[in-house]
Amino acid sequence: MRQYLSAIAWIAATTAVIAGAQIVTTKAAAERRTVTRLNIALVENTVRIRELEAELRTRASMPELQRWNDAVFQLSAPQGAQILRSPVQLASFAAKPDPQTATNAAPSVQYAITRPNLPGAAPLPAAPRPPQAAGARVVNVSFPVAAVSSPPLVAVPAPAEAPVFIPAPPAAPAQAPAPPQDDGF
Amino acid sequence: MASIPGLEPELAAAAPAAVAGEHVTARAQARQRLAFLIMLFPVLALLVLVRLIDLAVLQGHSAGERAPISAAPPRGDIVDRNGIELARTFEAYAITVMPARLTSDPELLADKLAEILPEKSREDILDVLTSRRRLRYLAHRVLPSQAQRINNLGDPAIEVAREAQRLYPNYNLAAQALGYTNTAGRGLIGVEKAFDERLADPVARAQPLALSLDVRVQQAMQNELAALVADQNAKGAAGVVLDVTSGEVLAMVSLPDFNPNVPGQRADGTPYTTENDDGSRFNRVTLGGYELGSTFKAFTIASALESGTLTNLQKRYDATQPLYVAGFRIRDDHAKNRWLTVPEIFIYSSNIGTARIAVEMGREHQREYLDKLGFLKPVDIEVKEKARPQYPPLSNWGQSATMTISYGHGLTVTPLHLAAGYAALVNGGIYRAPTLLRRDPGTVAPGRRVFSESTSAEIRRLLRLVVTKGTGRRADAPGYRVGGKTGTAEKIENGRYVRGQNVVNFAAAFPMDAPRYVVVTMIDDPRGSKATYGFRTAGMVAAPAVKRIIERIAPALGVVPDPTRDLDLAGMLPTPSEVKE
Repeated sequence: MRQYLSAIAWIAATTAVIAGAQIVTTKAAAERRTVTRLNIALVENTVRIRELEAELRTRASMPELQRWNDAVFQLSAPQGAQILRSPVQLASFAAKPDPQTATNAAPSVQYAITRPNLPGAAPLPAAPRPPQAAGARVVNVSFPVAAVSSPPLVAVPAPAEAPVFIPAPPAAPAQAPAPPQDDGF
Repeated sequence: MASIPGLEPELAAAAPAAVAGEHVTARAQARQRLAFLIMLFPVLALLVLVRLIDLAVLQGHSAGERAPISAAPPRGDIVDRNGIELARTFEAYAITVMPARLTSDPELLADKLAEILPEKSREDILDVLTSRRRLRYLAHRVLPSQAQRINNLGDPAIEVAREAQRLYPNYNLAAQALGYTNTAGRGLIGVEKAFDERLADPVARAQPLALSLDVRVQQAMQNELAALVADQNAKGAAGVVLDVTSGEVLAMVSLPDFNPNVPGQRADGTPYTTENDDGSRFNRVTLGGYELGSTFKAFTIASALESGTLTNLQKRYDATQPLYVAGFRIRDDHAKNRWLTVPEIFIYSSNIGTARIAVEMGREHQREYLDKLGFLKPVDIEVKEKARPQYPPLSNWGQSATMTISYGHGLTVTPLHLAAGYAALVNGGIYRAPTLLRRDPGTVAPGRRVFSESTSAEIRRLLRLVVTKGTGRRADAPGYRVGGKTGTAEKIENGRYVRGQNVVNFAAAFPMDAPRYVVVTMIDDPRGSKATYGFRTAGMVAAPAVKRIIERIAPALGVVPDPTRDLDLAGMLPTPSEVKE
């Protein structure tokens, strides 16, 4: 009888171990399948993203931008004088008050620059400021005039550390072309 | 006959008589068979085990060797220095047809396919559908929406397949520098060929290959030069922008160009043949050898300063009349007919004065510095398409060769040679081989010293003087302190000079107080235009283009114009009273 019990115990134990191992194996295989499926999904998404990027890059390629600029925007490179080196120089472009049309109205003209504050620069007057891009400093200039006689200046969004652009000064009156001279050889 | 007790008499009569020991023998046999069977199982198990080992270990692959699930493209991407894609591979849709298995009427099917694929004619489609071949490609690089519509047609003979395609999103931009691949995905020219193994490597291709090119600079230069070629009705153009401190090439333009997405086609859509090849796949920057004319004068003066031949820039040389040597006449295009100081020789581009400086310096010094500047061997850059400079052998390098080479004749180099040489001239005297790979600040090659700091400083002043007072005035972009030198030479074809056809070039650097970039442009056979008053010289044709290029690229490169800064050019030129004397 004892022999039978021992055999049964062995069989039961072995079955339990095998069943337990099978469960662990099955669970591991299921987890592995999940990970594999996830990897496949990731790869598929990455491939899809690459396809979309390829389309986007092609549509926004430099030759396309050039074509748009030539046909529609017609922007030209900024001239050297349009790029400022300091906020003081920027402020010097502010419109001068016209005493003839001066009123008590005080339009606020804003100029944005991306340069860091100059050492020792005077603190800016406290004034309500609109939301601004991080890293940009806004100079508020006010004057008691009803209208600004010179071309309005606008704050041009510029990338960080990029120089500031301002509109080009009015073009000088057309001059007769200089007589041709071949001075290059 | 005695019967066996207990046995039926019939049976007993049929059964053989028992032999003594028979049972023992039978039992032994049974045992043997059982033992054999018992031994057979382990042997079988051993055989199965051996086979399993064979399959799993010997014939199998380890987990690491198994192709991983990876998003790495079949061929590595190429990006510019800011990470903008210049070339990438993606799985495009291709439409294949097995004409023998078509279930639809080819005529009707051709109508429907022609609607979906407007770039294909109905006749071409019908030709494919009625082909006798087993498999034909109907179209490559089909848009996903087109592929879906074709799939919806439902004919089992038409299959929508995925295939790896190389895409150049910027079309013709830097086409010769980038190169292209064949249908098997192997690079044929340019970077695609030079880095073919790197781009195809299963591990390395996961990371894009970062080039030194900057698409903004490349586009600006390519656009300006293309406009110039059209205006001048020129045969071609080349341009380079080089970082003087690292040797990185930011732009490499060669015109005419081509679309690497369809490398077998000309711009008008016709296929390339040997008869109609317009040279658009030819990289003039690295493979085109040209006599670059007066831009070489800067090297002659720098070599004379460095070798100690020239100790004072105010030394005067006789340019009162042409020089005659070995049957040739050396003359100045715009002769001053007087003695000229070195800055005057440079800004008026005097061939006579430069030749006299070279003779004074001697052939050995001239060769030594040309060799140090890399002008006597192909330029050291990654692409395979490189021209070998042409120059006279030492046995034939006499006084006349010394004179002509001093002002850029009798020696052909590529525009890239010129750019690398000018970088060494202005960066303090260090020559660094140009590269198309992006270099991080810590990995810049040390280079080799060719000129001293003081020589480089003097050359910077001379180059700036050319733009403020001399032949390069039209290159003076306000605020950017441009310096440079014009060069005009007669074109050589089949080893002979072609009268009336010029190669004009302008080698510039900016800003000259602390040079950062060299800009070299070369125009092949400009014909003159209204904009240049009909003139075809470098100062009239190439210099204004350089000005426009610098004004476009400088803000993008972070060079801030400053009209308040400039080099001190005082005392470089003689006063009018000194000239009269």
